[in-house]
Amino acid sequence: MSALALPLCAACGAFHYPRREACPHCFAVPPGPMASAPASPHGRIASATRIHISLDPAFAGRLPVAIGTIAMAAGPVVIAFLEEGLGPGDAVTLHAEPGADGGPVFVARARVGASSG
Amino acid sequence: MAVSAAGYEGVVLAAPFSLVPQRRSQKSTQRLVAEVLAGVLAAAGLPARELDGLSLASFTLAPDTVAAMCHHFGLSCRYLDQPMLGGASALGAVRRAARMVAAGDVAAVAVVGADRNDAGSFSRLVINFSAFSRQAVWPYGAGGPSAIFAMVTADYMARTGATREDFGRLCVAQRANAQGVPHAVFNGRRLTMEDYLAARPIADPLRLYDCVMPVAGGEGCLVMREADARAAGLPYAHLLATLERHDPLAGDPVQRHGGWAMEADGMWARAGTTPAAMDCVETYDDYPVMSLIQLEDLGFFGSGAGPDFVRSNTFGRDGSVPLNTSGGQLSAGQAGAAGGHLGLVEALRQVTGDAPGWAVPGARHALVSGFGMVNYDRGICATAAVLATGRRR
Repeated sequence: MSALALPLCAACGAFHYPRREACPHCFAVPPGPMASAPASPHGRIASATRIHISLDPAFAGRLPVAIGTIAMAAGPVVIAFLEEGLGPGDAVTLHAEPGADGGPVFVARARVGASSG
Repeated sequence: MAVSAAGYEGVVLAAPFSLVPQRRSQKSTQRLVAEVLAGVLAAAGLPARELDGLSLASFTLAPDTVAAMCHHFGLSCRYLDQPMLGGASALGAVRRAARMVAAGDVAAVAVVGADRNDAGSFSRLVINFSAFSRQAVWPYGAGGPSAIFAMVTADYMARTGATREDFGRLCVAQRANAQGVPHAVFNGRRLTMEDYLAARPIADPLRLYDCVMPVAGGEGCLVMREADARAAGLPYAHLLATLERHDPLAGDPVQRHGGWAMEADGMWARAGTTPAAMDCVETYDDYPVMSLIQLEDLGFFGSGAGPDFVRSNTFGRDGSVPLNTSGGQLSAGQAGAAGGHLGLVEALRQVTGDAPGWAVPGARHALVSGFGMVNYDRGICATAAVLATGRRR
């Protein structure tokens, strides 16, 4: 399991997501591409849905697909696939995994030992 | 920095026109724009060569632009604008055009929205909508905006106690409002609460009738000098006040408000009227939850009181709060970036007595709101306007 990394502003020390060209908190523009840094993989599901109709034929055999909006302890809001049975309020750990097209996607799994609610 | 907007004295809205939308059409966007502009000019009795301003909103105009359309149609313009604010484009266009007309830079601006809808165009629009959605939303099931607003709706239900039936009341009332409206795509097709609740699931808790139907179509009207409208004998509406605020309100993990909340008090103060005085209300109803978020942010009820508001009001044209009086996008269809023009044109029709067969009797004041651009997990653009009768048909 690789550690979670999220874009981090070197000027103000705040994480954000998706990656920006300028920090959305302090508008610092880094000299090069915004770097990522290890971030807490913990978060809580703010809202969730199961998608029954997909615009991408690649998902046809996988429906319904459970996704959620995760409020990360590190600050940002991340959309992720949800492990079966998870819902709003649940504490989760975010993992980056290879997606269908090769790029990484986030998957939220139940955080072992954490309370929900 | 605070702002203090001047009024819009001497500038009016006139010459509403709506295309009859089509579910699927081989017509090009350029063709649809031509048809809308021709309709607006005919309603105004204005020759094309005398039109000196065009504001055109469209997602599907590429590779053309509003400048290409000026050339394409043989126009000679002092003002061209192409707002890219999604469903906030119409009122954004009105705000800019009204200032230009008031300042004397241009005599009249046609505010037009149009988009085609051929096979696959909706999927192409969604996947290419923004860099963030392509990289951070599309790979997660490609549910499009419905997946985002499913999560907004689920959050709204959890925090306010709203039920599926509450959203259904709005959708069923709007479907009834669409009956008899020639440019409503669901004119002639009724919807019951049973139909609404039993429809096929799209993205929980949203089902089919929570989602707009993409259509090919377009809408438009003129922003012009009151003196010219009066001289031409046109029905027209005053623009009492407007607002515009584009802010992701990033403090909320899921969208709970839009920029309306930051600007509504100022708009109502400038308008010199109140939400309760509105004879009809045209919200940006891409999903019913957004109507409730707009109505709350715009001061129609207090924080979290949407369910009470829905249960204690009726939303037909003869109801206590006539809402989306031509059916809204949920029952008239969504023609891409022209979705926000639907409410604008409908409000103009209602306050000028130009809604034959679907009038809100005696309507004099209307609230219109716009909403656009789901860049990642929420809509960014918010607009609103208060219209009042100037001269009725």
